[in-house]
Amino acid sequence: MSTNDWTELTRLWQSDVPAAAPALEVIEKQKRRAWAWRLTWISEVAVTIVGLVASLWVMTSDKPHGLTLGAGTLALTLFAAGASLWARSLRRSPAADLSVRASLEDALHRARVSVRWGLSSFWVMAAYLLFIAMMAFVLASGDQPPGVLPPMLIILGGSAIWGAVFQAIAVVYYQRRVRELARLEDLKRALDESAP
Amino acid sequence: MVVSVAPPFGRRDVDDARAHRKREKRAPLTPHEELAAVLREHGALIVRIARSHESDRGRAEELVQDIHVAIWQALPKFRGEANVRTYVARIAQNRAITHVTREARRPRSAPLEDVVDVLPSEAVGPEDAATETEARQRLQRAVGELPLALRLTVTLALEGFSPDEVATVLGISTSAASVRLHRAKAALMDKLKIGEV
Repeated sequence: MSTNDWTELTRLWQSDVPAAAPALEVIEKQKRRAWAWRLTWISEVAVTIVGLVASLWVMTSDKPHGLTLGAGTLALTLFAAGASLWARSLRRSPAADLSVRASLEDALHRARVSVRWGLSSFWVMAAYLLFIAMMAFVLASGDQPPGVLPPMLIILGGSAIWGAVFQAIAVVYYQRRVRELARLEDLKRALDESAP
Repeated sequence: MVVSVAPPFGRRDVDDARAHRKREKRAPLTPHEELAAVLREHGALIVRIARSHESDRGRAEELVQDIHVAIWQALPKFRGEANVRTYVARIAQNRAITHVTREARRPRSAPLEDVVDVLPSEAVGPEDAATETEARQRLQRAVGELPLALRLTVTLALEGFSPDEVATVLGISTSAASVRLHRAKAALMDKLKIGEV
């Protein structure tokens, strides 16, 4: 390869002068997305607080099956909060060094967090469905005043469907993130192998 | 002494634009203004890097937009530790890596060669311009076919980055960058079979 060949290729490459307008719309969308992430965090904290208060209130009330319902809610709330903390525990600030190698490490880290996130979502929903099933069993096996059981079962059925749909989404999300993680690891291997 | 003050944007880097504002005692640049300044100077580099990693025009545009967002996010942290071109190239390559790993599962549709911009050179006639465009498309295709690790290197070399700058962008030593540049150029030449370009 002569210097002239390379100079000509460089000239040819740089002779393409495409223009692109600043992606201002995408930037605005990005701002909203950052806000949505904050909102998710706030809602998780709020749900945990509400879950704890509600479970303690139900446990100490005189309602039928109050203790069972309260204990189940408490267990589910603590499990969901623990899973969320477990998923978030891996998070860290992006590397100050913006090099490709450092950025790839960051991408790998983010992918691992996402895999954890998908996994924790799946198990939280599994626990939720178990809780719904337990509630249905308790309600069906006890003596209920006339007209109470059918609407309760409809509510539980709806909740179970919602849980199942969310769990299916978590499975798809998890599988995608696992594939992404595998691709990133392949890429890191390729970069390491091609390093002299 | 006469000090000439050029307009803030034109062909200036963002740090020059910031300094100009300071001299004129005007309000600091907004992030959008900084982005516009960077894109005026380095917008074409960003698009070329994006196209080297993505042959589908629509997705290449998405990648360009992703890079713009990343630059917009990174600019407030820019303290002039590297030159703006290197900074922009690093961000562009990093976003391209994320894009390539995310998009690997999606099927390709319109290849770039069908829709690539045709920009006739100022100094040549229509026939020569067509030949040049064809050669450029072949070069872009050959770059796109290289393994990612070599593609990252060769695009920087084609953009005229020195081994030092390539090392900065990739996060490796200068000697390692030199060796990798040599390999990447050889691989590209091999793809092109230089006599045909």
